[in-house]
Amino acid sequence: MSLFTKFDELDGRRRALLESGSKPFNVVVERIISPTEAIVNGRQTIMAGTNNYLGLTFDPECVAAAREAVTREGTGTTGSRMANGTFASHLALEDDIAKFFGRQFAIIFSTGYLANLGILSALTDRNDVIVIDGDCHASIYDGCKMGGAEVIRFRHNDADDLAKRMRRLGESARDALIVIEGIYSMLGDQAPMSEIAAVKREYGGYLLVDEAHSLGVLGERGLVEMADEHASVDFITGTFSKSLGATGGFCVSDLPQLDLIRLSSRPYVFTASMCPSVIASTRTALRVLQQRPELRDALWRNANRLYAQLSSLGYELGPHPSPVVAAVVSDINEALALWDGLLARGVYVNLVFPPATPKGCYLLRCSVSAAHTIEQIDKICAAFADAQKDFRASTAA
Amino acid sequence: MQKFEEKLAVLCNLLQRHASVNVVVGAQTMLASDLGIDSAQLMEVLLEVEDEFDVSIPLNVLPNVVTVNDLMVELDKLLGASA
Repeated sequence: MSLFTKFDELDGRRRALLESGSKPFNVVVERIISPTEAIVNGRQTIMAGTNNYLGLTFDPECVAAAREAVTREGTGTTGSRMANGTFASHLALEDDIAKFFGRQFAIIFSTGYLANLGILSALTDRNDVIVIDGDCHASIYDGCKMGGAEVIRFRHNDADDLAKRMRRLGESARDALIVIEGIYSMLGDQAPMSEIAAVKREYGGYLLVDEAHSLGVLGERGLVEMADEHASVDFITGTFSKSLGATGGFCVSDLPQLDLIRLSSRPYVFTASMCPSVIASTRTALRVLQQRPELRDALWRNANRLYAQLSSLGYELGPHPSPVVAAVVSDINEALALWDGLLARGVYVNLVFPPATPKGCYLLRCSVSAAHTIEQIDKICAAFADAQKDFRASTAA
Repeated sequence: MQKFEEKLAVLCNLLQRHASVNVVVGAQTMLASDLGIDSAQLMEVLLEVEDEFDVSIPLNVLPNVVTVNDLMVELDKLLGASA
């Protein structure tokens, strides 16, 4: 038994994948052309798996703000806020994000992953109970594990199942932390926000909503705002890396204890803080998000078009249109063939394997951008149609 | 209150329905590997087990659960705690 014995199974699966000719985990983006196009394998490719929902990565205002900040404040902070000090721009972004959500307090993290890790691991310990939706993101599972709380999961998007589990907790339910997401990253489905909030009001506890995929997508602020459940939600976490086109994460709350997280959260204390250029582009993107609602209109126009066309091709998709449009495939060979077929036709999507997927399926996961043109959406759909035809022909032969 | 063996029989019957290979589920049956199901399927089966016994199984206990008997021991503790 060596240090690397544990990797034998994984290595076998990787070798089998490489021998099949597919390289879904070795994609190199050789040159980025725009928010929606890049050179991959030497050819111009439509990027349909980037979570760049509002297409702001090349927004001239955001780029100019980042350029100006890097010139003025340098390339990095070279350490954590605890050790190296807080920059004025850190506080400015925290002020912006708190005001944006109408909350009193905000704390920013270096990535969205670290936001969930940092908040969940610091908020809870072995004396607490966290009740999470079964389809929550790995950052939520990892944050729960790091804190050491008792973790109970409920059936995905099933408020009745959540209620059952809260009932079983008895008195402990009053202090339990419920965790859900605004939009779930794999199938793009939304949480039943009002039903979940009603359970929280009935049994007590705290409610945290991760708006990573819904910020700027469902209204300006995500599902909590759209469902008008501001008063029922105690914490909102999210990321700057998707609709805001940068990197970093946050948590907002009206609970003043949020400030204590700064002193107790290891993923906050022991990592380098957000750098000035990223803060600058994020602050600008947050303003653009509010000033240009037409971006969201374009996003949903594209999302509805892609969902409708893939649905008409017979692909099994998530339960409703969303900027995440994922085709569900049960067979690995079909998933690989379709993914290869798409890339060969100049379309990049995410190929997602179990256990990252719900119920052990394979996903060809698209994420739509406001910056996609109608023509690009139609090319994506045509590539799906052709790849499907090729696969069917190969299996019929 | 049901005895441990009675509850174990209920659990074995439930798991038997989900076995995708020819196996007679008993106390020493290894979850997942002997049942011929993957980890994602096992998590779905556990939801059904929770409903059957009206108890929530914390994820934290699962690393220690290898056999059906291990699962029953954990369920028994949880049922005792909620009784």
